[in-house]
Amino acid sequence: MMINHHPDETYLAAYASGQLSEAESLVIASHAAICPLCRHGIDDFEAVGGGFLETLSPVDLSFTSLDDVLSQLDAPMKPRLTRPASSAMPAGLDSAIIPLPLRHYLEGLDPATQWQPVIGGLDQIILNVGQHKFFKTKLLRIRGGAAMPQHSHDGDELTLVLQGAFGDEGGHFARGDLAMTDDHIDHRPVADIGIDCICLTVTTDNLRLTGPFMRFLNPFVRF
Amino acid sequence: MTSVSVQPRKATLDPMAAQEMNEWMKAVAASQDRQAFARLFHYYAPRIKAYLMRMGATGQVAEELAQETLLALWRRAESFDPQQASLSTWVFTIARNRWIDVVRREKHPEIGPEEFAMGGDPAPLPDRIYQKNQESERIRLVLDQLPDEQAELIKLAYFQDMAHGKIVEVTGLPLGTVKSRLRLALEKLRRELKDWDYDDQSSP
Repeated sequence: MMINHHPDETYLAAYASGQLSEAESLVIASHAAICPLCRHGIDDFEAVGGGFLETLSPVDLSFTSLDDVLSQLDAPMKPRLTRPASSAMPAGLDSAIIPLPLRHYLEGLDPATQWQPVIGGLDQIILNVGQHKFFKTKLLRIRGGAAMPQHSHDGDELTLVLQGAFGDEGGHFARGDLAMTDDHIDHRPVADIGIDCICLTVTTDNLRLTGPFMRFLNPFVRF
Repeated sequence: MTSVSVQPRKATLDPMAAQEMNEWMKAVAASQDRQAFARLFHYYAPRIKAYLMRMGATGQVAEELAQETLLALWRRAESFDPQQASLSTWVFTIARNRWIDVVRREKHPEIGPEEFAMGGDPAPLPDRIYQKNQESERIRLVLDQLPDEQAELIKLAYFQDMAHGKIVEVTGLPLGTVKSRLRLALEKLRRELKDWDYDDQSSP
């Protein structure tokens, strides 16, 4: 499998330094679970974080800081929450295509969850990811061979292909490929003939954002 | 050209110090050695506090999270694998995740172990020739090669409270310029790290 469309360095570094929303991190982590190249890129950028940590000037701790921690070392650990070992996927979703980071979010879904029709040839499942409501996370299913109407975006969009493929003005996107669009792009995706195209997608709701790091400067977006 | 305010470059851990840290970590994992733990605490906790204060946490919250990070280091000591990441990198990711958990009330979805990666044959990659326990050295050499301005810009992006527009404020540069310079700096950093991986095969 050849992955041709990757997140750029700013996304990898923003993921590694913890600057992305949970929704965007989910897309980047899901891509990296399939893409060894970007997994290594994230390893590198996390290592840069570790290197920077060493260079920071230490800030004094309170007098009893170490003793406080030493006194807790023997406290029993809280048991880790265990998740059900397996859980049914929504109908029509092959669990083999779901990258590990995404699995957890699908296992949290109501077992009765169904694909909801959006328009002819397009269905969706809305996922609940993170606290920030202006990031909308969905699974999209485009029927094999179906063409979507021409549209442009009010905000940014990250789309990771999990199954099948689609093409638009930006190129051809198959499993593992990440399509990044902003509101300048006016496109008309068409799914390849054959198997349904299933994507994980995060859109920013009617917000002009300026990239993974700089959005924090936008006065309407506050973490 | 407006220049980024450059702080004096502080050295990262030299290879011997990094090795010593790994020995302390081993002692914590193997025999719950409190003295070794205290040494690791003295090194890391004040730096984690500095990191989280730069992220916008108050001194008190930053210190609590630094304590929690070191507590996690104690409890999960056995799961630390120096072949996977350097100790500083491991500590950084724990502190980062605690900050996201507690301050942002979100999660940081993790990629998961490689053996679970799915999707047919992954694109082949050349073997990485360096040992991860040399990682601190690798990062140090590469960061030292970056021009000061680029290194400082990346550091600001990693470690600054973005919500207050600190990069624009600190650098005095327009947003668009900051964005494009940051992208260039990250691309250069990534290239240098890759070159280090594949060019340095003669080193032991």
